[in-house]
Amino acid sequence: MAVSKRAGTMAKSLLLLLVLVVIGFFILIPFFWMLSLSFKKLSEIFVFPLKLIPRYPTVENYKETFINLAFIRSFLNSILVACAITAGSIIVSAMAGYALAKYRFRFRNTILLIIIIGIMIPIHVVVIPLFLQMNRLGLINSYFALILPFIVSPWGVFLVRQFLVDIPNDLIDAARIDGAREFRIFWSVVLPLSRPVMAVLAVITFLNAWNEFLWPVVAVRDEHLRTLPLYIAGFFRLFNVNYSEMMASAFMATLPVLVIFFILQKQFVSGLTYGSFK
Amino acid sequence: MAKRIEREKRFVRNLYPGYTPFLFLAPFLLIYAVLWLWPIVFSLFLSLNRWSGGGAPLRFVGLKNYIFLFGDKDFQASLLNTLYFCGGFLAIMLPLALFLALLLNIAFLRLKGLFRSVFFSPVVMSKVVVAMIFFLILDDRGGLLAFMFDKVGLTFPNLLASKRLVMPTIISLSLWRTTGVYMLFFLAGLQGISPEIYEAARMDGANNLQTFLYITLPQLRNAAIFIVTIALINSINIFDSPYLLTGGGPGNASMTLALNLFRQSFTHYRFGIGAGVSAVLLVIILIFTLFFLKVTGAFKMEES
Repeated sequence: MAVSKRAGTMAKSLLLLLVLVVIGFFILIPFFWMLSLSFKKLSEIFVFPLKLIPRYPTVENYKETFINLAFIRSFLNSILVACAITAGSIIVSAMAGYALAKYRFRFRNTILLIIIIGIMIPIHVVVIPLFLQMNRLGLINSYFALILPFIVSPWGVFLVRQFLVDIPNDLIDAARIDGAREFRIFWSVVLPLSRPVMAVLAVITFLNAWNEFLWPVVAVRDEHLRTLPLYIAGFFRLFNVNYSEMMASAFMATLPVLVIFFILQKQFVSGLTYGSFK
Repeated sequence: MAKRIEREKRFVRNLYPGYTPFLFLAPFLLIYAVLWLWPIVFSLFLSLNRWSGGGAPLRFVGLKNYIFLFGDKDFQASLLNTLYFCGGFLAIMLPLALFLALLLNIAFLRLKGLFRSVFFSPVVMSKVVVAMIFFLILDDRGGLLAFMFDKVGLTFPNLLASKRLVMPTIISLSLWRTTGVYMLFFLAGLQGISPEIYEAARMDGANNLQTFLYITLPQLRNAAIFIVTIALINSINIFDSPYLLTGGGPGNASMTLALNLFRQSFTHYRFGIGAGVSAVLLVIILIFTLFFLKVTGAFKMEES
């Protein structure tokens, strides 16, 4: 009896595994296709019969990509912009989230409500006036234009706030009674405590910053300021597109976030689901 | 005793000046006010004016931009297409994400962690890269799908040039990229259901279907409300794939609100009309948000 039941479970899990593998296949095939094309010669990519494994694999496309100054420049731009946004938004969100979690003051609930509504408002809604505003500040077509709007993240503030509400006040009060200044308390008590939520915030902010497209399209005219998504989208405007090189660039643009994602998966998952609903 | 604690609390609170919390909030509030709040207000004002950018003067025209928009074929199409996208996306994504989450929540199954990672990995990709890959997969002469169709003797339609099929194609791209994330939300919801409820149901002799219908689904209510709201708000802004793949075409068959507002402003330099489109977008988003806050009772959350 026990054996047949176990056999039944085995059969069931094999069947379910098969379903999962099929779905996984559909999810992964575009990835593989990108990789495959990036290793093909241009002459091979549209010739039937198509092969998933290139018949004449070549690293020529990657070589071309790595010596392409425009690619290198936009890669470095993306790293600079994404890191600056991540660092800035962590500090700004931590300070604001701390204030909202651990102090009592007038307008606190109003500010919190504005932040909650702000989470839902995407850059699309403000893109025109933001462009005009940046223009007036003389910042359009600069790194600042790419970075500043994303340093303030209502979602980040909310995340930090939710995290800090749950830590006990005693630690903070103890430091206060010992005579620590307010900023010192924030710096040496609160920040070390919030390391887990900072990691979550960092992963997701970096990812979003790395992939942002609409705002850079509007904010940047100068070739030297293009980020990776802009560089890759630039292929679309060319005649005689070198599709294999395009795929090699696309893969190089995906690789960093893919690596980060696999290393910091736990933070990514908890960040997406943390405090969202209970 | 309680009195002493109360007194100590007040003492601790008096150790810092009243403006301290505002110092901590200042960087956020300042930048947010200048770069987000003010632009929203200005955008509403701009939508009541005619303005072609640059040094041209603003001309107040009242509600004329809105009257123009609601009679404009492109705007009507963009509104309908955006709603079509939201509806189509949600109608397929919800059951699919729930199904995947249920699969990955089965206790005896192995390798769940691996499949979970695989299922939501596409979301780390930039939408631009996704558009590129699918552009090559969907190509009607040399693409991967055309090749597979060819093998079984069928002709593959040029999806991106078909008025009827272009929106479903764009919906599929988004499904591929983001269903995994919503699966995660459902999974978190499923894992939040206490095992005792299932235990009790099994004691009462409920079968699998009954357990699913009367326990799992109702328990997922909050997760589902959250997912629907987030998915709607993300879908309302659909921009990247029509912008890159079709430019809103053929005709205006894949014109969306976000693309329309971009076009009006940065192609035709009709900033007032563009601002009108973003005001429509804003109103739709606010309605969803307020609805979400109301159903989940998030308004009460501030009491802590």
